[in-house]
Amino acid sequence: MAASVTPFAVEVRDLCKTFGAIAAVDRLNLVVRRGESLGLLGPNGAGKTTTLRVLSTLCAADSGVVRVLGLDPVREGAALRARIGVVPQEIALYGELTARENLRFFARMHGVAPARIADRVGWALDAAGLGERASSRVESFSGGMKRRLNLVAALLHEPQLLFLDEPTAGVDPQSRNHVFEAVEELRRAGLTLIYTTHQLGEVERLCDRIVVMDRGRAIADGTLETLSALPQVQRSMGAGLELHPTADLARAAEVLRAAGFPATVRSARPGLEEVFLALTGRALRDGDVATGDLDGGGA
Amino acid sequence: MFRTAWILATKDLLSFSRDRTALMLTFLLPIVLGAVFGTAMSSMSGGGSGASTPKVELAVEDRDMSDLSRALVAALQTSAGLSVEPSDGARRRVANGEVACGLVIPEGYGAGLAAGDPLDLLLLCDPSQAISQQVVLFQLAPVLLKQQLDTMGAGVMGRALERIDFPAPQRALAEVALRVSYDRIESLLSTTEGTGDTSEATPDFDLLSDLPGLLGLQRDDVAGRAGADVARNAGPSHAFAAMAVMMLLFSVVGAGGSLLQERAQGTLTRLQLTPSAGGAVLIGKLIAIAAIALAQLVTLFAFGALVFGVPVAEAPALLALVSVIWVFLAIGIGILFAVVCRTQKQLEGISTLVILVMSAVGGAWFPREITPEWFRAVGSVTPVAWAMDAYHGVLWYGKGILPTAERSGIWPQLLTMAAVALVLLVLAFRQYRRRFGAT
Repeated sequence: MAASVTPFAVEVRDLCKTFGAIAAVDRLNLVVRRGESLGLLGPNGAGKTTTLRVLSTLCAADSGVVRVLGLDPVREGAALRARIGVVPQEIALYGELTARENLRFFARMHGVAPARIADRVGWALDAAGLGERASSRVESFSGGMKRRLNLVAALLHEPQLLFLDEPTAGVDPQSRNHVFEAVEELRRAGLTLIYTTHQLGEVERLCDRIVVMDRGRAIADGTLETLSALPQVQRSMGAGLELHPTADLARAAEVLRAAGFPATVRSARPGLEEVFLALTGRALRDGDVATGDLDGGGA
Repeated sequence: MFRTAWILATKDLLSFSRDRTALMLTFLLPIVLGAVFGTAMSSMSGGGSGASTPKVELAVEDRDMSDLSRALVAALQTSAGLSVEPSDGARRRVANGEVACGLVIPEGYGAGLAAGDPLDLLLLCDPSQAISQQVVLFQLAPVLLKQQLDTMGAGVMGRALERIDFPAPQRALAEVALRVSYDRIESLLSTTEGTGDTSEATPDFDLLSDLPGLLGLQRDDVAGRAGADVARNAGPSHAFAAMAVMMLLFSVVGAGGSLLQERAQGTLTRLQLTPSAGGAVLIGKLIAIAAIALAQLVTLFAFGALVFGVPVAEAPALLALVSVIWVFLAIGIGILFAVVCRTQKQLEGISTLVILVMSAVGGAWFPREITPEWFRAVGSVTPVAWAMDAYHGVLWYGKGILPTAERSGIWPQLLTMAAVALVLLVLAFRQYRRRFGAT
């Protein structure tokens, strides 16, 4: 079935998914425009991974409407899989194969035309900065090299929508920066991105819009600026005193303290981490439904 | 330093106590295997009693139907170690490996015995079942001696030996035996009854070749491929069949475990995210495992043929057919294990236990015929037993798929294996889709 033309890469209405008695996703509504880079945030057990699993055809929703690139992930799974890429949290590569053998294998599995495989593999090796190690076994690679290969393996078939599930977990700063640059390049190329991570700085840098999920629902949706302006975030930040941008903040603080008001000075714009904690609370969230990765059906 | 070592040791013990696979392999597996071996070995050494005593099946073909022949059959039926089965086709049954030995009582047996003529009993043997033959001979000996002594008396028997021109080395032994009183003979035999233990016998005495002559039996090896070298072929045929069956299970289950490994490392998910995901993933695994398994069997049998003279070249097509069916049955078992178990560690623990026990009771380690009946009954419903019967049928007995006048066919084993393989593979695919399948 041909994908319907729609400005949205992802449309989700009232999505529900339960595991036993636990509602991993609870009436989720979400849209992602084509070409948009969306950061999907939430504490453990928020429902991010289950949402990604549903969107990427790995599991079916219990109820609700889901369209991805205009396709139904359940009834048109094969067609959809040909158009999406997923960068999993794990290093999902074969250690006993070389980098080139891994890429050739995944290119073939994704249905890349035989005549194009060599080109795509060459591109991927260059993009990952692994051209000189193409014939080395992946098991001999550093964590960063594996992460980079893990990323480009999802791009061999030139997907229109890319899911990135914590793509920089456990890598060195250089490799993380390499991944950032690769993702920024993909944004510039117009690829739609859905990015989940606990590294909030990455979302600030790489995403146009942020959706915060908690207990299976989207509890906030917007840019960092719009989220910062939310009343609950402002309350969490404490009482505010708006000063003109040209005001001397240090002098203002001195005056307040002298007048008997305990005061500290900081920028009025909270960071994403403060926004996140304000929205989802500071209580520890260890009660994940399952493993919490794309493979495990976790929430 | 010792405090640190103690802290480390307690940590290791705590980890061990939480590792169910390690606990199972450490404590349960040795107990289970010990019980299996103990049951079989105590039976072999005569330690069993009642239902646990192994009874070797003896097909008796009474062509005489005289009072004496009937008395002989009746006496044999009271032997503790024999399961006497009256049969019109003892030769065929032995030739097909259905029983280890057959006894043919010829026409005129009763009259000849009364007249002091030489006995002409025919003992049909399967050389590949040497342990069972020993049991049969030691069960036959007191019964035959008693009937002969009761009927003819020692003097008559001595003359009979002379008349049949007993070979000199054996005659001395026979004369010694005849000089001993019947009670002494019975006592001597009772110490080794059912065990095949010849340690108390004369050092030069070869039980399997000498005792039949002493008892007035003509031995005829009727099993095995025509022209087969018994000493060279019987043991290796069984051994290589056993290794083909048992080791293939281990390698296939191990290969099936790669499914769990792929799941753990995330590559299975990545595969499921490709357009052609679904059953193709499992079918691809199946093809690879089958190729590896068949290569293993080819290597094993080629070595057996070249070094031990296993008669692989006698029926290569049939051996290939048995191997292909066995490979698919083993894959069914292996994949089912892989999709049922949660982790590779769990798979290794459970599969090791099941394969070893199944191999032991199924006849891959020791012949099933030396074990108690209940043990044999359990073993006969294991895939290992079906595969062993099929391989041994082709390699040693020279059977084909369909029965002939002389040989039974192995179609029941092949059909059973194929049917069970199909069922297991269907179950494995369903379970795979349920547990690992994408939408």
